[in-house]
Amino acid sequence: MHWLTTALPLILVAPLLGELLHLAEPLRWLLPGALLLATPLLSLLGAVCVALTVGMHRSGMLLALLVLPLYVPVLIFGAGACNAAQAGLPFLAPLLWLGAALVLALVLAPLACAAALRISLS
Amino acid sequence: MNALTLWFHKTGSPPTAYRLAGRLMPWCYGVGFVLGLVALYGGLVLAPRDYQQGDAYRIIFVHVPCAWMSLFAYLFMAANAFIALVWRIKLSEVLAMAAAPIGAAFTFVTLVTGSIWGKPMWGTWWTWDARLTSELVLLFLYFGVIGLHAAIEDRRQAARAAGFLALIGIVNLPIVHFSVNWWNTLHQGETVRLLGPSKIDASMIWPLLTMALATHLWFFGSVLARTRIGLLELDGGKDWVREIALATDGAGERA
Repeated sequence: MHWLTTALPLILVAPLLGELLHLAEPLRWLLPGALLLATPLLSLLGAVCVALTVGMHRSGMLLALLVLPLYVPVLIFGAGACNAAQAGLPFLAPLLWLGAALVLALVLAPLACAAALRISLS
Repeated sequence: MNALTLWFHKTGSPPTAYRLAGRLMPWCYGVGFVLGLVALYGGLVLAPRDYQQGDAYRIIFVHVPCAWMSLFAYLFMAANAFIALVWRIKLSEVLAMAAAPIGAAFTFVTLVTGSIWGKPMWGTWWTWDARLTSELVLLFLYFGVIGLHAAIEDRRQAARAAGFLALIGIVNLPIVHFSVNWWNTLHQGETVRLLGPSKIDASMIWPLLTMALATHLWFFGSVLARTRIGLLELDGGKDWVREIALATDGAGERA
């Protein structure tokens, strides 16, 4: 739900922005593609971290600290794919990594969320 | 209950663990300190200069063992967190949380010595190289674990939540380890190998391995020291803690 309101508009507007910024040919559809893979991953990882801090006062700063190391690899692969495409290099590998991580997270994140909630509400 | 489980439960009970840790700790510190001095002498004085890097390579004797320890400490923490989450063993919770700040310190030393080494060799303090970045992520994971543990009021719940985070973060460990093989960036590849011949001369490798042993011992020494304090905190108000507190008070008055 959160993803629909924050990430989806960005993905929809990305091709338009790409057109406006005169992005090169592969990048124009690669950028939304990478976003499509990366943003649900970010939401899933964030959900697990939020579940750990449920019921805690002043958790904002802490949440940022928890989430940051988990987000950095996603950022690296996404940015890596776009960089490689811009330089005319093969960019499939980082995208595949993102996809693999997304599939793993789709399966494991709800379980991890449940376990984390159980811990923080016990 | 068979003998092994009995022994396990006995050693895992806080008073016994406290005493055992107290007995082992000085040995870890002592032997670790002596080995560290030997390794430093071997590395800084006995080992020959590198033909390419001159004397600057000698920081390897601090940098590499600390890097190994940063991974080992995380593994130790995650393994204990797993045991704590599955079997609810109090001692494992304390051990895992005791390892976090020490691992963070090792990671920090690795990053600092690495950038000091990087300045003359690569001409830069920091680049977003795969291994450097993943090591930085490791540092933030440690910080997250420490922060989460400090933020929750109930000590046991805090240890479980932080332990869970440590288990999630374990995906980063293979990334750090294999980053030099997966991405061909600035950081050099594996030089020392457990299986097969190392790509480093014997005169340089023995101080390195001695230093690795020394850092392991030092790590266990500090983990045991922190565990003792953690156990006292966790069990504060119980009989065995009161006895210790009264005994040290009495000793203080007599002295």
